[in-house]
Amino acid sequence: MSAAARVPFRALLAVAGLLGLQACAQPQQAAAPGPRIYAVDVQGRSALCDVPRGVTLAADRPTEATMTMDNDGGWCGIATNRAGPGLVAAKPAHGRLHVRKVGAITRVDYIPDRGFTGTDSFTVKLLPDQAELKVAATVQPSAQTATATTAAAPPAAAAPPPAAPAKRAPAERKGSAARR
Amino acid sequence: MGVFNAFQPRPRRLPRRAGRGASLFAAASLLLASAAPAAARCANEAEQSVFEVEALKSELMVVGITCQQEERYNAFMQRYQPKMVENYRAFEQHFARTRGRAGKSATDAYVTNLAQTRGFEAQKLGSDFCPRNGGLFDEVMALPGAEALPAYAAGKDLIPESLGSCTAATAAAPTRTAGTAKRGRGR
Repeated sequence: MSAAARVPFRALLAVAGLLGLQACAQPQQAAAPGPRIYAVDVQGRSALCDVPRGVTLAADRPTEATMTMDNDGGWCGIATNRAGPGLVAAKPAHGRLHVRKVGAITRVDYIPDRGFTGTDSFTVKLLPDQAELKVAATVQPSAQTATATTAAAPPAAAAPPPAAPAKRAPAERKGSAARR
Repeated sequence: MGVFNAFQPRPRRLPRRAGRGASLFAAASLLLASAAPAAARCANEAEQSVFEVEALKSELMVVGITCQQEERYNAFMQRYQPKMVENYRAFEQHFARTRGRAGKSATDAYVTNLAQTRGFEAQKLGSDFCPRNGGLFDEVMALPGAEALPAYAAGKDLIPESLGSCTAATAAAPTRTAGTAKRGRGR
């Protein structure tokens, strides 16, 4: 009786597990029909990237936007309501642009030159109607990098002395004894 | 296939090399990238565009071959044939002017390094590479004309920071030329 009771319990556990897996799998199936978003297109964003959300471009006049970001090696992007390719009408003076399709929209990413801080600007036209997006970017020094370098510097400088003398100690003693 | 031969006799062989030398080149690239303060750009805007269009061509070639979409690459080359020929001429002229007699080998080395870097990027993306980057053909073929190609290429960030363009390319070429030339002759 007890053995018979154990089997259904295990079966119940297995079924519960399968149901759990199924529950996990269902949202993925539901998300499948939309355009796919690739991990590479959402990784590497700057820690600070202050931009307007979902800029709606107008075909008949330029749309202006501002961008404030940290220069930590990452990008800062403005998502538009267009899905077509972009044409760079005015390049930034202190960085690069990456206009890429992310899911159903086109995102305009700005990557400042390493070490650059200050203001920069660029203009991109998005197809099919060549809707113009003018961006004024403000690039700040990375607070994290500054903190990391100041915090990391003392241990790096402090670490070698304990290790080095311990190994050299016997030889140094011999050497110093011989010299003496 | 004929289009590959007509426009790119050397790059046609690149994807085979890309797999073998990718890891070595990647290590060198990472070292260079960490040492460089910022990606070098051409002082002349027109020359910068020449490098960007060349990088776009290289990327499309890697996508075409890696993703078995050679016909789409051929269609791109056919559509933009005059522009691509003109661009490659300007590209060669840059190296001829800055590197003199070594211009040809410097051009080849740069093109090789570019394709290897793009190939390495393709490897990093793994199975995502083809579905994601295959869309480049749709985009490039949707452009209004050849005159839009430089503006399109400028927004693709395809020049590796480790390679740069113009000055950096000129400086980087000699060290890599020897290695690539040896590998090329060996096959």
